Amino acid sequence: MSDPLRSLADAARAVTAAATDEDVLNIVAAAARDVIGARQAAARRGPNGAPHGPRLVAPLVARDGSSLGLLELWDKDGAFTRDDEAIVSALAQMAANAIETLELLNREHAARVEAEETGRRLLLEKQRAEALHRVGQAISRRLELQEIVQLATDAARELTPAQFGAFFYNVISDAGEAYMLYTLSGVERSAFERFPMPRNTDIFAPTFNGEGVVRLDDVLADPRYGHSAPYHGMPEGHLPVRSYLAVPVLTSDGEVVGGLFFGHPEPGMFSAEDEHMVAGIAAQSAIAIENARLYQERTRTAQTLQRALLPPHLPTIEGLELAATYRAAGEGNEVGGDFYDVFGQSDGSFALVVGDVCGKGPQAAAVTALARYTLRAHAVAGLRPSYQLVRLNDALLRQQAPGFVTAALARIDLTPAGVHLELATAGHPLPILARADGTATPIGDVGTPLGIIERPELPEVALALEPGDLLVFYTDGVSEAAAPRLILSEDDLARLVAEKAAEGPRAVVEHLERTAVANAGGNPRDDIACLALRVAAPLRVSQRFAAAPRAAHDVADALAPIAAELGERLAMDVRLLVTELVANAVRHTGVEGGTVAIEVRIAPRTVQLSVYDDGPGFELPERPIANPEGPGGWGLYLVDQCAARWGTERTDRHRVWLELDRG
Amino acid sequence: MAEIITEPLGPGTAVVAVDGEVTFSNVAALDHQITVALAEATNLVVDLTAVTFIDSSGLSTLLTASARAREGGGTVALVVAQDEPPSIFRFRGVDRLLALYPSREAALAALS
Repeated sequence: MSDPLRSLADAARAVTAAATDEDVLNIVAAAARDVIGARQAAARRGPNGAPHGPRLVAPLVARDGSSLGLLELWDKDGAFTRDDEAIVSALAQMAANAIETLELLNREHAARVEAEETGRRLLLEKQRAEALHRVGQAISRRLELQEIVQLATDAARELTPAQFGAFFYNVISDAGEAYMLYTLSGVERSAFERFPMPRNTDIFAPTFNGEGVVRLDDVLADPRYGHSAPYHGMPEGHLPVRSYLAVPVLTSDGEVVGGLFFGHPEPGMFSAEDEHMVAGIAAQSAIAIENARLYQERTRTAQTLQRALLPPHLPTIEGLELAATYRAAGEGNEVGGDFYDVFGQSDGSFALVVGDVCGKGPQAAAVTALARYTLRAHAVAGLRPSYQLVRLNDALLRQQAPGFVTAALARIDLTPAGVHLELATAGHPLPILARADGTATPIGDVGTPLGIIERPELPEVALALEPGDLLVFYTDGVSEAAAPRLILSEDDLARLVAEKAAEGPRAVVEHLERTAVANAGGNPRDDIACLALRVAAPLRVSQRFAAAPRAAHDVADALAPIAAELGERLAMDVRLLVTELVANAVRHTGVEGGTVAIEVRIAPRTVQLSVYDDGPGFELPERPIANPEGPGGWGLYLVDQCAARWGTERTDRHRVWLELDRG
Repeated sequence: MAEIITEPLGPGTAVVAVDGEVTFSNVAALDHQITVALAEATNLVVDLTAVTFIDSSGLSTLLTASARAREGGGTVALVVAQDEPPSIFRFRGVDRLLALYPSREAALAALS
């Protein structure tokens, strides 16, 4: 028989270390049996365990008096003693305490686990809310389609257990063709590039047909998997997908934009919550995609409309060189209110107009169309500029057009006696006249904008233009590009025009536009339109001949009549350069039966040469052109060395032009 | 139209005299004449005194001839009129690549 006290002490230590109720009960039962010498002992949480007969029973009583169970002993040689009773009571108490402590610990643990679980859930919910918010924000910003789908795919992958994700989406090209693009998350593009786009297989169909979400614990075990040729499942080298979640992305009118697909190499990864999460992101991105499409559509419409409101190209008018630039404000998604036009009138004169309709968008576009066609309609009458503007004023008032229109309109008469200009300005910035002698000034008087009052004041000026004189029209998009920080006065504009006048109208309008764009920090808020004309010097040589090897002789013949007027040296330079340009044209025309045309104009200070051909033109080399070291490349080097200015232009033909200074 | 006369001038040297205008329309004739002359002679004098106009294709032919003569250990010397040279010879860089002389005598002296 063991030492009863030691057994009790061992039992006391053991119960404090016990992990479960069961252990506690076993320890006290064994201790009671040993100490008291009974052959049978049981401790249990409920009553009624021992057989009938003599026994010793002690309740396990909790601190609050409730019963936790019983400790029973029976089958002892001899009767139970009072001492036995005391020992069993002590053991029962010990067990009760231990059990209560264990329960307390368990409750604490459970509470901690629950708290942690709640924390995790809150964090996840917060992350999900943030992700949805991010996707939502993309809707309010004008993101590109590509950015939206990437954002959605990344957000969904990060917030689900997905290891990789893809967004396959349909796009429609400008030509109206539908095709599918995709974006990936959690995997390099190279992992997908070898595979064809997913097709309407049994697995994919519910997504691409917009029927609903497909969530599979194990795609390999799904009855729909592996039935479609040629792969019958995932192609060789595909990412190892077991868990699969696919959500269709539908627009508000039920059109399937695409699908969000997620995968994990282990089965059973996606929960119903993940499904809801991705469905939420899909809904958000569908709205974003719809917005992006509408925005693209609006831009396309605006550009189409804009093109219709400007002449497709400027007319060719003998005796005038013309150039225009136009730049709509912003991102090209709105029709601007600036316009320009050049057209012939029934009396043989030409009208040049630049105008600005206040406002933007469809309303401004309607007024612009009204303005342009009203002016053109009155071209048959060959009216003076102020009368023409009065007609436009009447039309605007009759139409009750919103806002007003400013315009500068010139009528140009090209007569054998000279070039005559009449100009009227209706509330528009004054055109700049750069004379052949290098001076430049604003001309005209500011009149009343059109479409406001019945009798607008439209002062008219008339003056004679000389060869080389250059007249520039522009809109306030040029002068006020950087307003209110910087507003260019008409004198500032005159200075800008003078800087480039010698280089001709194209150089001038491009200079003005570049300056305005630069002043506005690259992003002008208003439209910019410029139109410039230069009175051409008299055309002294105009010849067209075959682009054939004998063309050098044709050049010599064509230029012979002006040799005396130019002087021997200049005449030889002119001949050399024309020969070089014609040689280039003959070499590069590449059109059978093609022709070369040469033109020479003699202005008081310059000689202007043009060579036209049917070829594709050539890339202008960087200038100054380096001195050739070998037998090749001398032609353009000579041109570059000798010409004061030169360049190329694409009209209906390819044109190389150059100017030589006289004297 | 250019007129071209070739005359042998002692051992290893030939003279090609050109008259008129040299342009991309007729440069092939000059090119041929120079090629023939260089097959016989190491050094070549091209007398351009009577040439009134020459374009970059003519210049290119002369530069090619000059390079070919150098390969054979010879030289191409050009004679260009002093008072009214064809305008192409006024351009920067042309004289750097070609040996220009005011007379046939000066050219021959330089070759010997």
